[in-house]
Order: sequence, then structure tokens, then C-alpha cells
Amino acid sequence: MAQTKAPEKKADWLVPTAIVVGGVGIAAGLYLYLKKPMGIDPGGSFNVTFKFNYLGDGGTYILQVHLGRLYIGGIFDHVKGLSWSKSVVLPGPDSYEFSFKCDLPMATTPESYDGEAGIRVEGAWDPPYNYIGGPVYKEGAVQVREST
Amino acid sequence: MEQMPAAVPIVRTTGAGVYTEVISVEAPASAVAGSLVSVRVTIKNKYSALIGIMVGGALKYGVSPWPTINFPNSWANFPAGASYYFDGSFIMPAFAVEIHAYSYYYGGDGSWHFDDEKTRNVSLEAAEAEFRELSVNYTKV
Repeated sequence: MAQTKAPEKKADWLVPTAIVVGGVGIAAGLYLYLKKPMGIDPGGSFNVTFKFNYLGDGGTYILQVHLGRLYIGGIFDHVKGLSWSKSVVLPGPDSYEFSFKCDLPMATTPESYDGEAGIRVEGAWDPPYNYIGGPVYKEGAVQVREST
Repeated sequence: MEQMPAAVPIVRTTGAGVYTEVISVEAPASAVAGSLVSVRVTIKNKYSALIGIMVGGALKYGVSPWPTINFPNSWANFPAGASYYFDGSFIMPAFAVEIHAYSYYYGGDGSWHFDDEKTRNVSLEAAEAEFRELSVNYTKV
């Protein structure tokens, strides 16, 4: 007499376990992502974009950016080392847009920085920082976070 | 072969226009910040023979060291009594400037010696209205 073997029971715990483990992993990743403060790491970069209308006959100009602290009354405390510039040649009257990348030093202190941006001419750049376009100030322009 | 400057055999006290004289400094009376300003400096050879004469120039407007004026051709051999001009240029800063133009002669000791100076003022043309509607945005890379 032939014996019939009972069908082997499939391991039904595998799929639920995979779902749970995957879910935990996604939740952990999301938690770590959300826990990370917004902003740029020291040594990271940001872009600055200038848009303006130029009415002159043409010339060479410098687009200048500083990070620092803006106080009431328009006093801007420039942070040494957090300054960038780009030289541009404007052929004549037109609307212009320029972007350039600013690299933060690795030693940048993590905090929120205000921005000062303006247009100046070539040459020595000493106080009183005479701009011929701007300057434009922005509070909290760049947020530098703790390095992770 | 590159021409060599002719030398004054005896070097005298400099800075008094002994062998050369800055005759004139030509430049616009005013300029807009950022524009290219042309300068023409005319120098005369007061020596009794051919000598090498060099031009130099700097801008006085409150920064140190004084920015220099660019002269593509900065020296030439002048016959006795001859005058010659040198053309140069600079980018107008955001300040009125005082141009200082210098003349040098080539000495028998193989060096250039400062000999004479003349100045000219260039005022700053109002340029506030040249840039309008400036906006600046900061974005994370």
C-alpha cells in the first residue's frame, strides 16, 4: 500500500519578517535624515546668483559676496575668510545674470550667516567697501551645520 | 635682436628732471567707475645725446600700494631733444584718482633712474544709476 506524504508546510514567516526588517531600516534612515540639521557642511559649497539691469556703456566689474552678521542700521560685520568674487565684463546695456560657486572653508563655524552682495570695480578692495551696485543684504543667507 | 636702451654715462641726482622731462599727461577729466581710462604721457629727452627713457605711472586714491598704470610699450631710445609719447591705461576705481606719471633714464650703471614726475586728476563720474534692480540669491549646491 502506497503511503502518501503530507505536503511540507511552507515557511510563512519569511515575507512578514522581510517587510518588518525593511520597514525598520527605512524608518531608521528617515530618522537619521530628518535628525541631520539643514544647511551646508563646513567645506561644502553654495551658489550665488546675481541678476541686474545694466545701463552703462560697458566695463569690467567685480561681483562680490561676503558672509557675516547684519546688525540694525545696516551695519555688516564681515567674517574674515568668508568672501568670494567673480570678475565679469559687461559689453553694454542689457539684463544680466551670473552665478558662481562659493566653497566654504573646512574651519567654518557652524551657524547661520547673513549675506552681503554687491558690485564693485577692479582694484584694491579695502574698507569702506565702495559698491557701485548694491549692496544687497539677506538675513540667514547661508546656514552652516555641524559636520556629520 | 632686442634693442638695448642707450645709457647716460654719468648718473646724477635723480628726481629733478635732469635728463628728462614729463611734458604732459593726457587723460579724460572724469570717468565712470569700471571703465577703461586711456593715458598718454609725453616725455622729452633733455640730454645732449641718444638715451633710453622709460615711462611709469601710478594712481593715488587712498589705497596702498598705489595701483600702477599699464603701459604696453614702456621705454624707447630718444634722440637728443626729442619728445615721444607712451600710451597706457587703467580701470577707473570707485574713487577720483590722481595720476602720477614718471620718467626714468637709463644710466651707465645699467639701471633705470627716476628723473621727473607730473600729475593729473581724473574725477569720478556718477555711476549710481548704472545698475538697477539688483537681486541676489543663495542656493545650496
